[in-house]
Amino acid sequence: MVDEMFDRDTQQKIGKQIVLPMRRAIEISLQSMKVRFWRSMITVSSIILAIAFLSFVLINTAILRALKGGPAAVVDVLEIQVDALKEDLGVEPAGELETLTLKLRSVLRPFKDGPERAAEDLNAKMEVLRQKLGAEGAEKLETFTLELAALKQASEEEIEELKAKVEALKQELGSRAAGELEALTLELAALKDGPVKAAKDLEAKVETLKQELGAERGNELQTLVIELAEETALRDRIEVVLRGEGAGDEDKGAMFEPAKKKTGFLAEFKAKDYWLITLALVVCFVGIVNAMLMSVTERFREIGTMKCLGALDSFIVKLFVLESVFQGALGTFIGISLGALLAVLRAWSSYGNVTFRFFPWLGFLACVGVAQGIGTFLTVVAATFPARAAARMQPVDALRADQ
Amino acid sequence: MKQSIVRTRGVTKVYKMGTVEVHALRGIDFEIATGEYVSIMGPSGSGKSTIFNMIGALDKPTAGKVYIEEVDVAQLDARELAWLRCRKIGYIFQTFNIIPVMTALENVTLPMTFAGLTSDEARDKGAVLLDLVGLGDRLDHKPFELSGGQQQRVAVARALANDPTLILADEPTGNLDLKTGREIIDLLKQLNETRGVTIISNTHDHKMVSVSDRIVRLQDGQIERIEDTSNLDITLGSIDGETE
Repeated sequence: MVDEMFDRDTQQKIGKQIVLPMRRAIEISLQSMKVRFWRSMITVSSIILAIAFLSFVLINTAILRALKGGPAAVVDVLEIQVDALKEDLGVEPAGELETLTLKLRSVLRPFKDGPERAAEDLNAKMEVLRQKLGAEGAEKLETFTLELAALKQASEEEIEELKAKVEALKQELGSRAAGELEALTLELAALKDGPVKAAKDLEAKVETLKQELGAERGNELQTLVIELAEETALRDRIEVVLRGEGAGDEDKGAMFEPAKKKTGFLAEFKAKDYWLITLALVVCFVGIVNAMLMSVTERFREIGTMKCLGALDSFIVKLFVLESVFQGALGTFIGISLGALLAVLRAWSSYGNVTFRFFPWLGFLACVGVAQGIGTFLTVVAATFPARAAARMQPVDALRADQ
Repeated sequence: MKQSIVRTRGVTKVYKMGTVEVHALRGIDFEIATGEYVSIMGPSGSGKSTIFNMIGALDKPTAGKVYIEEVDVAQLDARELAWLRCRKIGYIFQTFNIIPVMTALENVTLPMTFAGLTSDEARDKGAVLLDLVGLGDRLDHKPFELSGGQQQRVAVARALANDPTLILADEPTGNLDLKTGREIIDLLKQLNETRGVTIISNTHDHKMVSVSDRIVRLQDGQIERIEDTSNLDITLGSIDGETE
């Protein structure tokens, strides 16, 4: 009797039923997601958050590691270049050029366009004041002020006398403008005696040395020396910020590192990072599993109904897995974008544009790939188990499930 | 002799709730012939739902056998069971159980998809069926756009999707008002008469009595008696003043 019901023809029909229209399954899954849009979005947002967290951790770590190593590496290279050049040119004269260059740099640094320009600017300001106070009176004031400043060995009397004169003059001319002129005169004198003079001296010495060593190579050395100084300052500045965040030197982590040196992307991650990444993965997994489990459980009755209509277990599983793949792909993509954006913004706000100078492109792509893979994989796995369990239920139990 | 479509032999079902054993069915024997309209009635806890699940191959008995078209249901594997449910049996539930994300037409054509029909064939047939149950103008409505009675009609159309020989209705009028319930019962009787499809219905509803050929009364997991309605003289009052 069994044979009659399940004859050859029927067996073939059963076979056909097995190879169920995948297209139909995809249609139903997409339709389901569309209709249950907000419910799907809740599931997807769980995935987004979990993956964003994971991506953030991964990319942030990559960026920090790149910043830790990047500037330092640049400094190392420059140091080698400078040393090589010094060897070439003769260590002593080259060393002297190096020192003078650095001194000159520190003299010139406070001034945007150099001390001479600053002096000119001051003079311009003083001109305005001279016009205001009257050329004669202004000239007198300037002279007295300078005299007073120059008097170091004079007697108390003479100093007091000059001071009084200056005061009287200031009263006569109008206190405020005169006071200003007085101050600027002193400033100008200081400039002229200090930075302007020093700059001139140093520049002369530097010129001489460059003649000795050869202008072209001399310039080369100067450029390198200045570059080295700036990169070193950058490296140190970053080191300070990194250490402040606890991402600085980790000799303490040394005992957890394997003896062999890791290469490539992984070399950027240390023991402490693995811990945080593992945590992120666990959060990710729990979040996604929970979302998927809820999604399947809510639809037990639907599953039972479909089984009554003749759906095979595999079809049911296919439906849920497809849905989870779509949700996983979408959620992972958005999550990665979000996590990456946050990580880059955070780094940029802490370290400035240097973040982009040493941006770990390869590491970034690897993080994205890893996060994408993990997200999709976890979503599908997390959906498969409850879907399989649901599909295997007896229809009567599934139908009994409370909606 | 008419061929039996459903036959049960000593069907027993025991549920284990922790340490307590619940005997839902204590040996059920009966036979239903092709083309009959049978109602299973009884108080709560009599085993109505349980025997219904057995007959519908939705659950397995603890002991005893269930034969559908003389095939022992317990011998079938998952694929064959799915085929059975797809081709031989149509189900109607108290809670309608229409898939909420699909339109009426899509709901009706879903089992056809499982049976291997192409989309076009399915759509044409689905439209015909929906027309048959009076919903020809609501093909693209979603369940939430349909009343309870209309949803149950969709369920009836769906049950007919693959021309089953047997329709199982579990409390089909349970969630419907008197008038709508009446309409559904009339619809089922009409299908039974015009298409010759066997109908087995689990019900509390006394309106079902007049259309049934036989009534199986259950009590405490056993058959109390089986009534042949041709022997019964049934007069029921009705709300709108007309007598049956």
